[in-house]
Formats: sequence, structure tokens, C-alpha cells
Amino acid sequence: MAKTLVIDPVTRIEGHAKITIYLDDAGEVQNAHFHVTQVRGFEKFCEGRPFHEMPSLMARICGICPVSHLLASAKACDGLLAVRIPVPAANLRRILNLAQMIQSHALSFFYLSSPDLLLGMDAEPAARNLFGVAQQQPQIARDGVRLRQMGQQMIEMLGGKRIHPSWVVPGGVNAPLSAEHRDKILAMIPEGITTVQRTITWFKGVIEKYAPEIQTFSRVKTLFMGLVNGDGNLEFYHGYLRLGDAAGNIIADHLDPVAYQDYIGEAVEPWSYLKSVFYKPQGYPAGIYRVGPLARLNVVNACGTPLADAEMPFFRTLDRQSSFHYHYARLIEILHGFEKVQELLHTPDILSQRVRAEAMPNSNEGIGVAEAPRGTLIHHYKIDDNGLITHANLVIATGHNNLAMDRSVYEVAKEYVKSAHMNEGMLNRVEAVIRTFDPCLSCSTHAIGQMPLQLELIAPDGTVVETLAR
Amino acid sequence: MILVIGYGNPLRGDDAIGQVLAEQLASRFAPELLQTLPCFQLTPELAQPISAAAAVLFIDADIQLTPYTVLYQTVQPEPSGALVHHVTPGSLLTLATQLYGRVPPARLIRIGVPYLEYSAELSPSLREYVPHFLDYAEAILRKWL
Repeated sequence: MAKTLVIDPVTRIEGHAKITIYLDDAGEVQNAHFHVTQVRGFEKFCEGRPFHEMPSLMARICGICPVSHLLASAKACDGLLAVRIPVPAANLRRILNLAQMIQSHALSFFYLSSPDLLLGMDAEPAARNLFGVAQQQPQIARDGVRLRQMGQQMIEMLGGKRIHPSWVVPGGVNAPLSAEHRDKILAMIPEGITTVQRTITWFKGVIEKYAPEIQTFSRVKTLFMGLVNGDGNLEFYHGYLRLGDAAGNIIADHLDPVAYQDYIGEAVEPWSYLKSVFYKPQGYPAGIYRVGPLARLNVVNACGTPLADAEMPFFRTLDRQSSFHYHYARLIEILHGFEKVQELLHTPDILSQRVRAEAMPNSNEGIGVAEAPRGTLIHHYKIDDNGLITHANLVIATGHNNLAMDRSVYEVAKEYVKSAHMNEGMLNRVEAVIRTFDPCLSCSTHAIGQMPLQLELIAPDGTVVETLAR
Repeated sequence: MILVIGYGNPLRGDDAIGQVLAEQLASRFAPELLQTLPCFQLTPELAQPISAAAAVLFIDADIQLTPYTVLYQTVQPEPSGALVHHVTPGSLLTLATQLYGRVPPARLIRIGVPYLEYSAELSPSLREYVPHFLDYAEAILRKWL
């Protein structure tokens, strides 16, 4: 008899989602979907707000990656002002972004995914969390806590607070970096590098244990997209967009991020509030692609820092279609983050007092693009002549990955879910493929056109009195 | 050094009382005697400063207590729940032991609050009690010092 399995909620991710697995009469998986069950709607309710509020407003989209939204939003506002911000300001924004990469990647790898990797996909659910890791592998837990702490301390020293710092503003940042904070951040770097290298060494030593998952997680074939700098190297703040495949072939290069609508499309599916983003030249849904750490390292020529680049030969031996390798890519990006912060803090004018370009609005449209921990983030604003927002479109990193996540749950469910021999570990593997993407679902759902909506009026006794739908 | 961790959501009205008290207690003590960590919620990263402290005082709002009353209790290490985003004072003590080999004495002040509605401020009635709560917490801390 046909049956439907529901995993609700999906655990150890950011935000709210469920997975539905449809079994046919023989108990085999016929289809599966990944449903994002929350709507944020920032694109709509920011209409009418003064544009200079947008960075602070948009930072509230998320408590894990607020810096990403601050930066993309501020860059969009830079476009509205039509200014080129001072170089020290751009570098300070870069350092803030790198600090966020470090803390967010640490959260994803150590807090959310390491329980599966260290304790096993079939471990007891009650123990399959950071506390379980602390009990069995305290060094790894300690390292994860310390890396996250370091990233957050850097953000606090730069921006004034760890979550929703208000330091990034249209035109630059609102205060220069002090010598004291520069020196404190520099003092953290050696420990940060040693800590993440310890985890990389451990992870590379055990990666073969996950061969079945690596193979299953590679069944969804996609392109990959990320920002690169002028040398084709890893770039999180400002550059060109590049699309490539897992073999390292470049499909499209030097794409102007501001012209994103020429090559990126957004579609809506009835099973999720999350938009499905696709590469327009290949149409929908064939234009499926991924973003984030795996995608970035697949499309770059190099990371551009020596220790991270030393990891790339091994990385390139892996099956880079497999979403499992997001984990290793995340660790490489943490390592790169520490190296790049160190490099930027040694630039001669990093303590410059000139960190903001002042102007009135000079354009009615601004687009800001930056790499968030989870992938490419786009903020697109239009304003009226009074500087009030008339339109906002956000293309969130997790949205770029929506099609790939949806297909991935189907492929993994097909491999592991057998109705005749059901166990919790099978369902955990379906969740685990979602965790490789490190989705940020609170960030990801806003609006496109008119949202499908169903309202139920429910009496105190639970009876549904009336239903309205569109 | 004694550590004060006051936590709560500053956008949910009186839930912010823990943060407010932690912020204001800092000015009543020399910095070498007291470290305060106002925070939105308890997270695993707090295990490290907890393990290094001589003693820890947690401060939190509690909608289930009679408003404006205070409950003062000892915190013992306890097993964690399955969800890392619902970390408790007791589970942080356990984590401090597991990761850093040390757990200090710990207490919790629970403050009964009337309102957890969307607001960036404490309710006026609770705000009137803030000096009283500060004096109460200060007296506890001075006994420890």
C-alpha cells in the first residue's frame, strides 16, 4: 500500500523545514520533496522604508549570518548613492565577512554535522548532538566551540556586537579599526589556524569511512557558481560570478553580478515557500546549480592563501559532485579565512580614519552581491526620489541551492529508505544530505508575485470553522 | 573573577531583564572582580568562560513566576536535551566539565515577569523594580567576593 513518510521538523539545520517521502505500493521511494515551511516576507514589508535603514533591517533576517545581509544590503545602498567606498572600508567589510565565514562554518561543521560524522548516522538521536560529541570526542568539540568563539569575537571587535552589528553602513563603515583591536585579532590567528588544521587532518583521515554517503550524495549533477576576483581566485566580497562544472570546466565567466537578472531566474513550486533559482541559459529546471563552499572551491583557480591552497590538490581528487564534500570545503574556507584576515590586517591603511563615502542618493536602483557562508547573496533595491524603498528582491544563497536540495532528498531516500526495514538512521541520512548544504531557511523565504496562501479559522475546540485559500 | 550571565530576548519586552541587569551590574563592581556577559540566549560557547570563572550567576526572566518576585536557586550540572538551541544553565555546566575539566559553583536568579510581548523596552511596571533587583543581585555577589 502506498505510504507517505514525513520528517518534521528537519533537525540540526537553521530554520524550519520538513521532508516528505512518497512510497509506492511496493514500499519503494517514488518521490520526495524538501519543504521550507516558513515565510519571512522582508521583500514586502521593507517597502516604504528609507533606504539607509536597509542594512540594519536586513541584518535582522538572520541571527547566524546577519553580516552577509549587512554587506549585500550596504553594497546595494552604495549603488543607490553611486559611490565607490574607500579602500580601507572595503577591506574592513572583507574582514568582517571572513570572521562570519569562520564562525558560521564552525557552527555548521561542529555543532550541526559533526554528531553524524563522529557518532555515526545511526547513533541514538538523543545523543547525536554537540553534547554527545563533547562526551566522546572532547577535543573536537572544544575546537568547534573555540573556532566559533573566535569568529564571533572578531565580529564584536569590528562591529561592536556579535549579532546584528550596526557598523556596516551605506558608503562604508561607521568607525575605523583601532590598533588595539587589530592587534587582538592578529593575536588569535595562529591559534585559529592550528585549530582548524587539526580538524582537517582528522577529517581527511576518516573520509573514506563515508564512501557510501559520498556516492549517494553525488547523484544530483549540477553546475556550480561563486564569486571570483580578477585572478579567478576565491573572493567573498566583490568580484565576478563564474559558473563551472565539477570537472573544473568553466561554463560562464566574468558575469557582472549587477546584471544577475540576465542569467539567474526564480521560479515558485507549490511544495515550498522557498523560491527555486536556476541558470536561465539552460532553462528551468535544467539550469540547476549549487552555491556555497563546495561550489566556490569547484569554480576557483585557487584560494589565494598558502595553507588553504595546500589543501586544494587533495580536494581536487575527490568526487566534487558529491554534496558530502561541502564539509571539507567548509574547513578549507575557515583556514583561508584566518589567513586572509591576517593578510588584510597588515595592509598599510587598515587603520585609516577615512572609512565612509558620504553622498545623497544618485540612483534609483542599487544591487549588492557578496558571498555568504552558504553561497551567493543578492540584494536588489529600487527607491523613489525621496529615498524610500519601492521594490526589493533578495536572492538568498539557500534559494540557489533549493532545486539541488529537493532532488538530493529524493536520491538519498531512494537509496536508503526501504519500507520493509525502516529505521531512524535511514531517515537521518535524508536529513544529513540537507545538512551538507548548511541551509539558512530563516534567511531564504520572502516573496515572489502573489504567494499561495491558505487561512484556517479554528474554533477554541479545534474545529476548522472556515478555510480561505488563493 | 565572578561571571554574571544575564540572558533574554531584548525584542520581547520583559524577557530582556536578564540582559538589563547584567549590563547594569558591571558598573557596580571593579572590572577585575566581575565579568558580565549579557546575551540573547545560552549557547555552547559560554562553557569556556564558565569553566574559567570562580563562580557563575545566571539571571533570566520567568513568565511562570508571580510577577516581580525572585527565585534564587543552585544550578547543578545536568544532561543536555537533544536540541542544541535549547541550552540550559545546567547543561552548560556539564559541557564545561566535559570540555575544560572544571565547573565552578553556579546559581540562578529567576525573575517573575508579566509581559513577553513584542517590545524593545521593559514594561513600565517591571522597570520600577530594576533597582531592587540590582540591589538583590549585588548583595549576592558581594557575599561571594
